[in-house]
Amino acid sequence: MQAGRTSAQIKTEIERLFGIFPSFFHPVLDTPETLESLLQQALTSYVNNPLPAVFKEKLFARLSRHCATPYCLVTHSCMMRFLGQSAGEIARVLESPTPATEADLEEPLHMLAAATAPMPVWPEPGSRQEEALLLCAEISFLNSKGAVTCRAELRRLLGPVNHAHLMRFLSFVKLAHLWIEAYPEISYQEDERTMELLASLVRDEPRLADFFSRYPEIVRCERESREERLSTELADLKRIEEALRVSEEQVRLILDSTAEGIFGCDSNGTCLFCNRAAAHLLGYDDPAELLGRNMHALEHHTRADGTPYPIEECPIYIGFQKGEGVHRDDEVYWRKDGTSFPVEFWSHPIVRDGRTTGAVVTFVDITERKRADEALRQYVERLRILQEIDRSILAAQSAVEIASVALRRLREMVPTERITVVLRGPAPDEATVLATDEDAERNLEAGKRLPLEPYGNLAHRISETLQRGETYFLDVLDVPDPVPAVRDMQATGRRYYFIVPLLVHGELIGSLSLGTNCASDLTAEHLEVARGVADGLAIAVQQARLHERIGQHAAELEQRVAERTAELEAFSYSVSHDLRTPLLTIDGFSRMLLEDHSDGLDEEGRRLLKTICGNSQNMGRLIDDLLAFSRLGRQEMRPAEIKMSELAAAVCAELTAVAPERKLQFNLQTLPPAHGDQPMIKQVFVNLLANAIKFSSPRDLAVIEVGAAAGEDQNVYYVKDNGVGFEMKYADKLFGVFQRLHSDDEFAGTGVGLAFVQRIIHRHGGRVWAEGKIGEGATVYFTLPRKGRKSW
Amino acid sequence: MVNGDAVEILLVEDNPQHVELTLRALRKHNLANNVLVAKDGAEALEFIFATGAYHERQIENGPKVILLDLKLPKVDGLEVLRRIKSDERTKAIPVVVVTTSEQEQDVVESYKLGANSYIVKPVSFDKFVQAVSELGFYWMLLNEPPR
Repeated sequence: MQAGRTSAQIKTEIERLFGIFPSFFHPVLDTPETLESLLQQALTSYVNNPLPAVFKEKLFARLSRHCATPYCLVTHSCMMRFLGQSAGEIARVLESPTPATEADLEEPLHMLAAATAPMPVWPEPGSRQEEALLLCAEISFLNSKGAVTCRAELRRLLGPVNHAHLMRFLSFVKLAHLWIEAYPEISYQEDERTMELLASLVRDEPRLADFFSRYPEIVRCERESREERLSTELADLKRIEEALRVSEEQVRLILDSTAEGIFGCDSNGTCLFCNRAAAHLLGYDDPAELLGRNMHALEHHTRADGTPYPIEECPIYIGFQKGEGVHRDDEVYWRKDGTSFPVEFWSHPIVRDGRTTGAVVTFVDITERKRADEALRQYVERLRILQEIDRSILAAQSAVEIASVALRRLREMVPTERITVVLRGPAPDEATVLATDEDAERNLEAGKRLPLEPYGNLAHRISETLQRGETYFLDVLDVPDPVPAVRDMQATGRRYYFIVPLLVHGELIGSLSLGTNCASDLTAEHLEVARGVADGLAIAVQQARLHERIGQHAAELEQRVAERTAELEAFSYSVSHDLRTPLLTIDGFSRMLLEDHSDGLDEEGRRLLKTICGNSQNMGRLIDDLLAFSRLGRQEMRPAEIKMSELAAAVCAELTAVAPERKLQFNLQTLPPAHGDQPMIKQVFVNLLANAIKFSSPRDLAVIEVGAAAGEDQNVYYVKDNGVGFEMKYADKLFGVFQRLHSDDEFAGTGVGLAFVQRIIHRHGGRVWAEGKIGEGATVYFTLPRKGRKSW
Repeated sequence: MVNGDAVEILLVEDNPQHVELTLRALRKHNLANNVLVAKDGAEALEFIFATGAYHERQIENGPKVILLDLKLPKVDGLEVLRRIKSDERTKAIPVVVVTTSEQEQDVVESYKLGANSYIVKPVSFDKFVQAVSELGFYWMLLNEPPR
């Protein structure tokens, strides 16, 4: 090959090499440089390419199926014929299927791989290996799916030299296709030899005629389906890409929009990603500022108490080592500006292939929650204190005790050096210390009376403020005209006092003062607590004072009752003794007169004397009954369970014995037991049954019934007779002392029997009432408790 | 008034009518001989302990029984009882407390101090006589009191 040959010279060379001047070169016949170049490329890559000649033609023809014009296809099909391939074989090559999917590649690659690599010998023409190789080359050429794998595999299988030959060949085919498509005037019909070979081919294999005539159509279809496939693939790719983009955007959006701080770090604790909230919570403008930094050193370096926090002790780090998640809510994170905040965080390890490669940490600022918790705790504590004060009231403790309980509790909650509770009084210009701290100076102790006068105007000002329900803030160094008493306060060294009023229904009863040297120690919440306690304390103290006053009153009353009782007993004694003394004389002397001077008296005289005797004896009985009745109220009760049936039966028997002349019928029902003083209840039965017997005396047969009805707390018992009865309108009078519905002539008695019954039953907490009708008997009911009471 | 050393019954009673009634009741049972009446506690003590107007008397000679009212002028009955019962020479003399008082504490107190018997004067004279007869101290009068 010489440089600078003319077109004619090159043409001669081509005709020498190919036997003809192919139509392929016609377009550049007038430009020798291009013609030369085209020839050289054809020679290097195609004609002189050491790949087997038949293989080259087969591949050329086959690849040319994808070219828009038929020139290459026909020419190289004819070349195959020229090289001795049968028409059938040529048709088979041309009709071999075009690879469409990656799956089509599997089998040929597998087959090629079965041969030893690199391939020592080029496959036999027509062999399956050759076919596989053709297919792989076609895939590489078309750059269709699997092309990348295919190229790599070919490179490995063919070895570097053969692979390079093949690639060079494919490049030339590409060039040829572009070339003939660029110059439509290139036509195989121009080449006589091709036309001859074609004629013989078509003759041998009529299918080929059909194939060539349909060729443009086939190419078009081929192209379209390929483009379509490509565009579908492209669309799929775009969709996936879009979905990824959207999904990533969503993840980012979620990460950025969440209020929790989220960051991820690698196994060294280096920040790999971080959301906006995390950056903001830590005081950074941009999450990017955190990337690449060690997170522990950045925000977890120091404990809440200010001591250093080595990473080896960090729970996240420790959890990380073990591949465990961690949750804590009792630590602090530090901001960029050096401030800290209480944090709750969760750390989740990232485990890949069984190895912890990092962690995702989620955290929130819990300042508000802590504050709320603290507020709640204080609230609960305040409630507890107030409840305790309330309990003190219920326990009826003294004002002093209540105040010291409140003081002790208050001290637990409020940082102060001294708390003192003073009450106004007893004198108008005085206050009394109710309670003060144990560690207080000895000059101020509970019970000490403080005259207010020495404090001058200050006492006035404080009093006025407190009266309005406000807290007085006293700075002892800032009193305009310090009187000696104020200077004494200054001398104690304590500077500030918060004085809270104790108000009950608007009345100022005293104050609670908190003394401190550091006014800022006491927050608004502390004062709020103190005021709450003061309010409860005021009421409690007032109650306790009332209670004490009531107690005093009760003691006075008791004293007075004791005095009255003593007087009454003295009176009873004198009634018993002094009234009876003259009666005995009256009766005795009347008797003496009757006995000694009976002869000197006529019948009328004796009757008069007997009347005197009878009446004095009667009066004696009245006095005895009255005394017994009064004694009943003072008699001590010994309550126990009483077998009422047995008791009633015993009394009936006794009464029957003393009235042998009477015909008595007792109907005793079973009576439920009661709780009471047995001797007293026996007296009840004696009185009621004796009455029943007495008032049924006009009947030949006295029928007396004793019955009962059990109740929940109280049982109702009754004694019923068939006696003379009474008018219901007098039912209330029955139970009065000395109240009688009958004259002594009809029925003897002093009229205390039912009064006795009533007094006993009332002392047992029961009720008593009577029902009756003139001539139809009477029924007296009474109730008694089933069980004992706590006190009598 | 009888010879101090022959007194069998000492009646301590301030009310003259009751003295009369008591003597009558005793008489009904033939017990009215050798009865000495002391009108108050002080006189009773003088007699019993042989002092004052009775200093010539021998303490050892009686009386055989003392009927003692509790409500007395000067020295009251319970004090008289206490003195009798706390003295070795007189504590063996039977004392019957006779009173109008039914006050429980009197009864209890009397027995505590060593009273041998206790009767409440009933308002009825008949009953009084009966009560005296039931005292059952005849034998005391017939026999030597235990020393």
